Amino acid sequence: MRKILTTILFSALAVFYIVSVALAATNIVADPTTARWAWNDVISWMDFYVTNTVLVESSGIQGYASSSLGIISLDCATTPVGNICGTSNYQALNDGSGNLSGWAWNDAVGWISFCGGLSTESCPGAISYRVLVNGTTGDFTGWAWNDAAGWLSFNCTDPGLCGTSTYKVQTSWLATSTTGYLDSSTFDTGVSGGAQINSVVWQGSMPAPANGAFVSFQFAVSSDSGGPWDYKGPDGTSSTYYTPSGPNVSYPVDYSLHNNARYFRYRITLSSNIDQTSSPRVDSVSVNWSR
Amino acid sequence: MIKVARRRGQSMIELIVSIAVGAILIIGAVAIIVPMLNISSSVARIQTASALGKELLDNARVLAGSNWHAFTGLSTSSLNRYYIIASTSPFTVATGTESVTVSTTTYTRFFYIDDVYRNPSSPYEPGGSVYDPSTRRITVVYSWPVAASNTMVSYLTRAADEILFDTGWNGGGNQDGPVGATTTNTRFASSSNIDYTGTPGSIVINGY
Repeated sequence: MRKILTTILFSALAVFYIVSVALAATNIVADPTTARWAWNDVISWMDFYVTNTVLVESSGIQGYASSSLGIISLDCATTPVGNICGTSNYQALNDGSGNLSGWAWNDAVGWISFCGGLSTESCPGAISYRVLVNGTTGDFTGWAWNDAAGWLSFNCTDPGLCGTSTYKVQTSWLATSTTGYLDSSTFDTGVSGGAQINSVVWQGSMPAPANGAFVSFQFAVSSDSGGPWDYKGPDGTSSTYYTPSGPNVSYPVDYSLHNNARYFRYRITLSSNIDQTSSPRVDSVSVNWSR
Repeated sequence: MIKVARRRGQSMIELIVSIAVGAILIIGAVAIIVPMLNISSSVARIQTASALGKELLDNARVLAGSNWHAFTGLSTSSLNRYYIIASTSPFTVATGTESVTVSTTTYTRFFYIDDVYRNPSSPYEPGGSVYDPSTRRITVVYSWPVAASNTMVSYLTRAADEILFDTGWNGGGNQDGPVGATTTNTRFASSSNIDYTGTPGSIVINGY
């Protein structure tokens, strides 16, 4: 009987572990020695991974971190007791490029500010400081401030302690554009021997500044109206795109890749700026082709 | 009474001298006129042959403009001779050499084609390493008896262009087609994360 109970207990624990891993909400790197820790002389180590709730997104950070002084809530909507935004509305914000601002809360030390020096609600005062997330590596750097505990460090490079005490918070979130694409209808050139795609141009507008936003194209050609439709860019694979520098700019298409097929389609891909705040707007597309 | 002898006509010597002078003049004139006539005839043949060569080139251009594919299947290099049959509509390409008789002279003409390779750093200049499927180098060769062959070199391009104009997508998706590639269209096949209804006729990423 004891054996059966033990088996059931271990099975339950295994299922719990598997489910908890599968449902992991955090995108903080799990490295137990370096890539999940922040430091403060009063609070000591803060673990951003262990609660499995900290989720860095383009608009802000969800969840809560763990510390010796209790949890550090990064978002009023995702606290351990649920959504408390009706009582106190706060969050550590992300401008989409990894520049953090806004507020976190700890019951022991109070408000923790992620940005200062801009004299705004989310970045108050005249003293400049900020927590940054590198959009390419996901590494946190910089300082947060708490009136009771002082500076909170997110990377050992800032106080120059790497080697003595190597730590940082790192996320798998990267500052990237959001994208969407549209596949055109199949176009019939009516040329039995096949047509050739020459160039493409789009009309519309780009975000100003573009800041990483772009509009790109791929083409698929076939001698059969039913396809198949293999969208290709300038190197003949689906990995590359024809990307005009902006609207009303004619962009030449590789003749040899889209040549002598009667039917064609295009795929237009829109990518936002890396802040993920603005999208190109495309009003029309013109494709020049030869009989 | 003195009798004076009457002179009846020119003397034999005068006659001979006159004939000799006349012959010299005639021979001199012939010596000048005949080469001139020969030159004139050669110029006429050159002009005719050149015109026939140019006619073949023009016909090739016309055919390339109306039906590029008439040239896409032709073998390249000077070993493969072709000419245009212009008596049919549309023109067609025939294999071999064409003979054309004008007056009493028979002229021959043909063309051959070569692929064109361009320089990526200067794409409008032939002579690179990148194959250009939309251009052919054409060499027209024309000649006539007792004359060396002459050539004309030019380039044929796939110049019959058309425009597809997708003016918007507010008609919605699920239009696989096919639809005409020279008409305007306001629908599409499918999309992902695209808002095509927020601003009618335009598309943006969803949520923007």
